[in-house]
Amino acid sequence: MIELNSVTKRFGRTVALDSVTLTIQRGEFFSLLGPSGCGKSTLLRTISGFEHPDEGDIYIDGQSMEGVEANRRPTNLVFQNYAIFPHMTVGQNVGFGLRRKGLRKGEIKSQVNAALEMVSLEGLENRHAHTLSGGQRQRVALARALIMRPKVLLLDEPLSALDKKLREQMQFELRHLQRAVGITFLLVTHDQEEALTMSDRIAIMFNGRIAQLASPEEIYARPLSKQVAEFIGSMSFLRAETLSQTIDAITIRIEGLGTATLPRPAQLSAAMKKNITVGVRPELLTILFDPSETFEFETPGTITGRVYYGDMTYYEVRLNNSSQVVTVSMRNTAGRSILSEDSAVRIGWDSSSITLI
Amino acid sequence: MGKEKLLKFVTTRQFIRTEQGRGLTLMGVPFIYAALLLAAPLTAVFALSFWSQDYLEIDRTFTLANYHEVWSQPIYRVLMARSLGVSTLVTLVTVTLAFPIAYFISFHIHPSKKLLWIFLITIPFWTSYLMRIFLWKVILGYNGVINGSLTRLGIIEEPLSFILYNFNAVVITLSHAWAPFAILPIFVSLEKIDRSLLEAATDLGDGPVRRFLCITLPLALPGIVAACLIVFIPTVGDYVTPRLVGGPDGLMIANIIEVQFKRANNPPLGAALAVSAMAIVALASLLFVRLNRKYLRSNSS
Repeated sequence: MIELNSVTKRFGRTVALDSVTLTIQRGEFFSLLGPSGCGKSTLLRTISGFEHPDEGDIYIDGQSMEGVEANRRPTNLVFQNYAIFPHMTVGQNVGFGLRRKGLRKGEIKSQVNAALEMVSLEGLENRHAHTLSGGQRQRVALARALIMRPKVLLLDEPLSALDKKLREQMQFELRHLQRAVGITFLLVTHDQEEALTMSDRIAIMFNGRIAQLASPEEIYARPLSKQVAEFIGSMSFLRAETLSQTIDAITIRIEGLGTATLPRPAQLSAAMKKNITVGVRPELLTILFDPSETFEFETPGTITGRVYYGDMTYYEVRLNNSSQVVTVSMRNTAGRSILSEDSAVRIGWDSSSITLI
Repeated sequence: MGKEKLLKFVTTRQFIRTEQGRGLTLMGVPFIYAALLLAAPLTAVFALSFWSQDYLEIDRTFTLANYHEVWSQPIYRVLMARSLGVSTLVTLVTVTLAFPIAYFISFHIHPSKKLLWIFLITIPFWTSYLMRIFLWKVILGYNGVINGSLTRLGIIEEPLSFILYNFNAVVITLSHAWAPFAILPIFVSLEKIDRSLLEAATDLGDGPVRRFLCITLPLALPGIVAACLIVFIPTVGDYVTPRLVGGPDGLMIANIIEVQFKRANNPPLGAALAVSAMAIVALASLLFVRLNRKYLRSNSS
């Protein structure tokens, strides 16, 4: 278990970490997600011991890490560029950390082989590091860190250097690996898809602070702020007006879309302001192709743009009687035509499509 | 006829555009320059070493007598051995002193100031080498800076005599002169080391010493080898330094070559000495590179 207690780190005048408090459970796959420069890498480096916090404490399994140098911490890091030692073979790279532990040569060899097997690189221990492909380097870096049996494995944007196909494959493999070894994984990424597909929990960071900490589903469905909503997936934001509110329901009029009554979100305790912004995910809106389909609400609009993805088409629809634009994603099922620009359409939605932010 | 000419013109132009043609065009001028100023004199010296001096004229009949003398007379062997000894020691001293300086600049100087530091290291080159040798004489002399200070301080009674006009003085002066040439290649090889490799070693449990021995030193080895060769090869043939600060027992092979060409009036023997010295240096360097490669291979398997 890793506990961070109001950890603050400054570089000159910039505050990289602003009083971050966070607990990561044992065996959890935890992701730090945020744009570049949000402090997520600094947080990782602070846990691994390469940076020292100006304020606050870090505990790993109840032990304070204060004054514990990076080479004595029970953490291991998979570097963004993998940092494979170029003058060594794969086997020497993977066994690097074991030499210090006073193990016999045969013991090191069998552990290295086991680690290589775990990342499906068996038989490559005598290959030179510089002959490896990008994907293989990443696996070597993983094996080299996992062989140390760390209390937490830190991964610094480990997939960003791989091409898309390999990245998707590695997302699955990392997840399986983490389940198999049962070690806590702490992943730093700027890729929301990576965070959503692999993590048990995600912390979204902006400007050195944690903006939201929750499960992937929770973060996607109920973002706490516009910033979080914009960062995770895509969302259209619409101006709206609060008409009335009770203890458990709010009635709003969304400009161009209509009036709806929504349940009051749990995290919202104060009264809603009059002028508000609501968000709507593209997949929660539907363009009505079939007149027999019925929705709670139907709103007319005009297609102003479209992006074709093969399985999906994303339409940009301007709402009639308003300047507001929403994005609607439609699955390209059999027999469904791709609508052209300027087509008049009807958008179907219901009150659960709307997110109050 | 005209068609043929055109064809020839076209093929020439096409040739210049090919990779090979471009290379030759670029290399051509420096190549001629090098041939005239390097290869030609070398060939002349090589030819001269197989001839003999007949009072005022050169006898151009082929003979190995010069080489026989070079390899049989003990004086030449002594001088050659001393030259190699001086160079080896100078290389050792220079590279050992250069490494910490290069390391300091590469690892402890802010990137924006590195260039300034490298620039500062070249400052000694702003004065002529001869001037620097004379300054060393001032420092090392019988009544020089070191002896004067030490006597005044009462640390010694008699001035030290082992620091000027001997082997030691040559080593000290040459080590100072060649330091920048050793610092630069080592600095470059240290700069090329990806810093995340050092962090990775730390992350895997290495302390500073172990990390230095396992990562930094092996990865800086190409620069260290280059520094060794850059210092070793030219210092074997150095002749100004031993002449000015070497005294009688600091003389080196180049000094005797000069004597043969000038005062002794025996250029063929001088040429044979020069060619022999070159061969020995080449062999020593090849051996060094070979050993180094062998070490690297045994280290990685």
